[in-house]
Amino acid sequence: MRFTSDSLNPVFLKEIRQMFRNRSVLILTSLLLIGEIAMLLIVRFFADDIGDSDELGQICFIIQMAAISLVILLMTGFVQCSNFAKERQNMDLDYSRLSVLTPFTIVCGKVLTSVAMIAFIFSMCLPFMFIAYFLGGISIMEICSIVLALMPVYFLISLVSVLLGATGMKSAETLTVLLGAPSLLGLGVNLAIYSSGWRHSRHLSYILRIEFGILLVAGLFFAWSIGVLTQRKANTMFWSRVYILLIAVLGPVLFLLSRLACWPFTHQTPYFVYFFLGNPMTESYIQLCVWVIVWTACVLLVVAGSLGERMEPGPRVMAERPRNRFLRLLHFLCSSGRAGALVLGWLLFLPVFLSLVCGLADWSSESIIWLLATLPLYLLFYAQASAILVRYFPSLGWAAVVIVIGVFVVFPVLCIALCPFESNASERIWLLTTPFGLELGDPTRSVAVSAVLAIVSGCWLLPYYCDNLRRHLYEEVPPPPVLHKEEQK
Amino acid sequence: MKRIASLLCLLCVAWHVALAAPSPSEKLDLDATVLPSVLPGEFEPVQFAVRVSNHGMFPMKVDLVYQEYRRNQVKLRMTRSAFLTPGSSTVLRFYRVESGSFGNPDFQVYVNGKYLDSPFAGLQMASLYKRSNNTLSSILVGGGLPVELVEYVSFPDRRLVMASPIPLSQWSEDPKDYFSWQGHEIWLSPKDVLPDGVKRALLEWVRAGGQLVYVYLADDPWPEELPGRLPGEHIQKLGLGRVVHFRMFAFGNKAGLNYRTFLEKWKELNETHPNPKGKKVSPGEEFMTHSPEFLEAMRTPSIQSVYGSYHGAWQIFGLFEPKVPLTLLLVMMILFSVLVFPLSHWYYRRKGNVLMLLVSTPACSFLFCLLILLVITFSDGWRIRTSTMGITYLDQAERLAVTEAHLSLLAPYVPTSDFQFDREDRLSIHLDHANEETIVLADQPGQCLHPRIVTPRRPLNLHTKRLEHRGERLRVIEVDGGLEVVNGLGAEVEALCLVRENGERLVAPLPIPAGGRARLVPALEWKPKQLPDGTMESDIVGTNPNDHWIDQMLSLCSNSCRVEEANRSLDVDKLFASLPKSCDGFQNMFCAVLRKPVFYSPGFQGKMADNTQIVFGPWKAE
Repeated sequence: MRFTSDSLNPVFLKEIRQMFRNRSVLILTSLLLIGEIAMLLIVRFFADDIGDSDELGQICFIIQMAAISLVILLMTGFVQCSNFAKERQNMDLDYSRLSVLTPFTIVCGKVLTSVAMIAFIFSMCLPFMFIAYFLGGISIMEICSIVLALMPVYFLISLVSVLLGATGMKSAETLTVLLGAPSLLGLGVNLAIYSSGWRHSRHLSYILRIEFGILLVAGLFFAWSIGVLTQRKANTMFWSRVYILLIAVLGPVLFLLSRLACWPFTHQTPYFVYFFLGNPMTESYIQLCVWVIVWTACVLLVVAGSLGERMEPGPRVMAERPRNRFLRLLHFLCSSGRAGALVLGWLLFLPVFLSLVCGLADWSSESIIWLLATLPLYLLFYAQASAILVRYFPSLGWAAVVIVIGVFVVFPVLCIALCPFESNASERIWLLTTPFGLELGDPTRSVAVSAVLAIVSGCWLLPYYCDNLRRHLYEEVPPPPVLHKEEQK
Repeated sequence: MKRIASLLCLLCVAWHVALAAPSPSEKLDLDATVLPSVLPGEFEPVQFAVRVSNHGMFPMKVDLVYQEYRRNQVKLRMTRSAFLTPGSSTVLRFYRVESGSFGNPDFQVYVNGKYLDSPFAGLQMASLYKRSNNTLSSILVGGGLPVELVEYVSFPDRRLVMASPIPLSQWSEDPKDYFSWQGHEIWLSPKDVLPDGVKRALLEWVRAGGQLVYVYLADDPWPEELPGRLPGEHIQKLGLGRVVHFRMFAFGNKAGLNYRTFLEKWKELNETHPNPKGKKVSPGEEFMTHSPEFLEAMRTPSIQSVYGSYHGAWQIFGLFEPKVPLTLLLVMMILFSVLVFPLSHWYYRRKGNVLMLLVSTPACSFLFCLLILLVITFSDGWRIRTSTMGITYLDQAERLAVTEAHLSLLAPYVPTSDFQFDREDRLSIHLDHANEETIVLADQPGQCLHPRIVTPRRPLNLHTKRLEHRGERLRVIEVDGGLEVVNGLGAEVEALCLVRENGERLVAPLPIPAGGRARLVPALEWKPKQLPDGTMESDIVGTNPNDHWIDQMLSLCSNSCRVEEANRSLDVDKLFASLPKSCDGFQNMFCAVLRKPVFYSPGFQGKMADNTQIVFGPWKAE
C-alpha cells in the first residue's frame, strides 16, 4: 500500500513526508518514547516511594499528557508553522503561487497534517496510557474524556500555526508557541480537570460547550487562513463571511430547537438535551447571554473586517457571482466589499438588538447585555463614517479609518484626559461618540445615542448600499482575463 | 423518502401532543404525608416513612424519588414505588445509604410517570441529611422526662441529648425503626405509659444491642420487684442490650431540692465560691452521686465507626487490589518503543514510504494494547470476585437475628446486572473506591444498587445491617451426658463451638450439613503455629467487655484471620479458642461458621464468591 493516490491531498502528502524526515520531529518522538519508558522504570523500582499507590495511574497519566502536549505544541505549533512561514517567504516554494491548488486545499492539507501527527503521537502513547489505567486511580472514561477534551485545544493550536504560517511572518513559529503554550496550560488543564471525575463531578454539558466554543474559534482561524492565502483583489473575505453567517444563523436555530425539544418535558429534561445544552429550564438566561455574545462577536468581526476592504467589489468578485438572484444576494453579503459587509453587519445586529429591546434582557440591572448592544452600534457608526469619507475622498483609503477613529474616539478621550471637566454631564457629552462615555446605570440612553449615530450614518450610506446591491444583483460584467502562471508570478 | 419523512413528522407531533395532554393521573387526588419519626432527623442513617393514599377514582403508580445533589449533579438517588388502587394507601420507607453527606436533598413524586408538584407539607429537607459529629453514644429522650435534666446529667460525657419530636403514643411499633439508634440510648420516665406494640418493639431493639434507661426522679416510687446491689440501681441484661433503672440520688435531692432549684443553687455557688483546687466538677457529676461501678456499667458502648478508617477491621475481610506485573509490561514496552518508531522508521524510510508509519504505528499500538490486556487478564483473571463476611447475633428464643455484614467486590469490568439487596438492608458504601457515578438505589424487586458504582479492578466495599425475625435455630440436645446439635440454620455449618457455663468448649468434629445432627467433642487447646514466613502466629487476644458486641466479635475475627498476599483465611480454631466465656447478655454461647450468606443479602452473586457467615448467640439444651 503506497500513499501516492491522487485522491489524497497533495499538500498533506508532501507535508507528512517532510515531517517524518524532519530531524526535530524525530528527536521529539524519540524523546517522548524514552520519557515514557523512564516513567515506567521509575514506577517499577520506586513505586513505594512515590506515595499513595491508589493514585499511581493518575500521576502517570498526568505526566504522560503533559509530555504529549509539549511534543504536540512543538511539533504542530513550532515545526509546522516554521516550515509554512518559510514556504510563504520564499516565492519558489509557495504553493499558492507555484501551483493551481486552491487556498482551501492548501489549508486543508496543512490541517490534515497536524491532525495526522496528533493521531500518530497519541497512537504511539496508547499502550502507556493503557498501563496507567491498570496502575489505578483513573478510569478508562476519565482517560477518554481528558484526551477528547484536549483534542480541540490541539486542533486550535495547529490552526493558529497554519494561520500565522500563512501570513509568512518571520517569527510566526515563536508567536505560535507563545500563543499555544498558555492556551494549553490554561484551557487544556482546566478542561482536563473538569472532564475528569477526580475533583469535580463531570459536567459534560459545560465541557462540550467550551469545546464547541474552541471549535468555533478554530473554524474562524481556518477561514481566515484561506483568506490570507487567497490572492489580493480576489474574494478574500468570502469564506470567513460564510462561516460567520453560518454561526450566526445556526446558533439561534440550535437554541430554538433545544427549547422546542424540551417543551413537553416540563420537569424532566431529556438527558441528551442536558448533555448538549445544559438544563434549559434553569439556564435559559445564560444561554441567551451566550448566544447574544456569539452573535455580537459575529457582528463585530464582520464590521471590523469591513474597515480594511475596498468600497466596490472587484471584477473577480463580480465574475464569481452565481446566476440565481437569491444566491447572488447571499454572495453580495459574503463577498469582499465594504457595502456587503456593512449590510451583513446590520442584518446580523438587528435581530439581537430587537430581541434585547423587546425585553428579553434585564435592562434594569447593570447587565453585560446592554454593553453588547452598544458596542456593535458604535463600530457600525465608525465603519459607516469612514465609508462616507472614502466615498467623497476616494484617495483617503485607510487614512479615512484613522481619521474617523481619531476624531470620534481619540480626540474626545484626549480632551477629557488633558482638560477634565468639572461636571460629569459635560464629560459625557464629549464622550458621546465613544463607548467610554456610557453611564452604567442608564443603558437605555447609551443605546439610544449609539443607535442614533449608527442609524444616521447608515441612512447617509443607504443610496450607496442600494446601488451596490442593485449592481451585484442585476449588472452583468465580462469575465476577467485568465492570467498565466508567469504573469501571476 | 418523502413518505418516511412525513410519517416521522406525524409521529413526532403525536408524541408531543401525547406528552403534553393531561393524563388521567393529573386528575387523581394523591395524598402523601411524611410520617412522624421517633428519632430526630439529625442522625444518620436518615430514615423516614411516607404514607401515600389514593383518594381518586383511578388506580395510580406512585414513584417517590429522594435525591441528593453535589455541584448540581445528582449523587444519590433512591426510589420507592407503590401501586395504589382507588381508596388504598401504603407506607413507603426510605433508609438513606450511609456514604457521607452529598448536599442538597430533594424529594420528588411521580404519578404514572408524570411529575407532580411536591404535595408534602412540613417536610424539612434540610434536616434530613445533617450528620452528627458526636462520636459518643447519644441519648434520645422521650415521654415525660425533662430534656434539660438529661442534658444536665450527661454533661460530663458531653453526650448529645435529643428529644423525640413526637409523643410516645405515636412511636413506631416496628423495631427496625429504632435500629439506627444502635449504640445509643433511649431514656424514659417510669411514669410514661408505652403502648404494648411500642414496648415490644423497644425490647426487641434492646435485645439487638440497644440500651433503655428509666430515670426515677425524686417523687417517682421505686418498684420493689427491682432489686439491685444498691438501692435505686437495677440493670437487666436482655440479649445484647440492657434495660437500666436508676434513681437520681443527688445532694440536691437529699437536700429536698428538685433539679432546677439545684442547678440555680449550683451556679450561684460556683460563681460566688469557685473551687479553690481548680477542679471543674459539672453539675451533672454533682447531681449523679451513684457508685462509679454503676455509672460504668450503664455506660453504653458506642459502635466504632465502620468507615472511620479505610484500614479498619472490616477491611481485613475485603478483597485486595490486584498487582500489575510491571516487569513484564516494562519489557513489553521497551520492545514496543523500539519496534514502533526507530525500527519502523528506518525500515519504511529505506523502502521510501514513510507514510506507512501512519498505519503501522496505530496497528502496532493496538496490538500491544491487546497484549497488555491479555497479560493482565492472565494475571488477575476475568471473573468477578466477591467476598462477604457476616456476623449475626441469633436470639433463638426470641427468633431475633441482628446482622452486620461486609461485602467486597472486585471486577475487571463494570458488571451488567444490578446489586440486589433486601428491602430491609441498611446499606453503607465506601466511597474511597466507588465510582463517582450517582448511587442509584431502586426498589424493584428489592433494593437494587446500580452496577455503575463499580470501578473496574478496584475493590468496592459495602456494608449492610439488618434486624429481622428469623426462624433458624440450632437445637442442642443432651444425650448420654454429652451434647448433640441439630443444624437448623439452613446451610451447612463448617465449624461449630459451644461454650458452656464453666468455660468448657465443645466443637463439632466435622461439618454439619443443613438439617444434620452431630455429637460435640471437647475442643483441643489452641497453640500458636509457625507461619510460612518463619514467624509465630499472634496469641489470642481478649475482648473488651465495654466495647459494643459487633466490635468485640470483629476484634476476635480479625485476630483470627490470616492474611497472606492477596488471600485471607479464618483460623476457626483460634476464633473458637478466643471466644469469651460469656457474652454481654448470656452465659452459654454458641458460635457457628457457615460458608453461605444465610442472614444477609450477598448483593452480587459471582461465580467466584467467598462467603463467610459467623452466627453466635445463646443456647439452651433441651
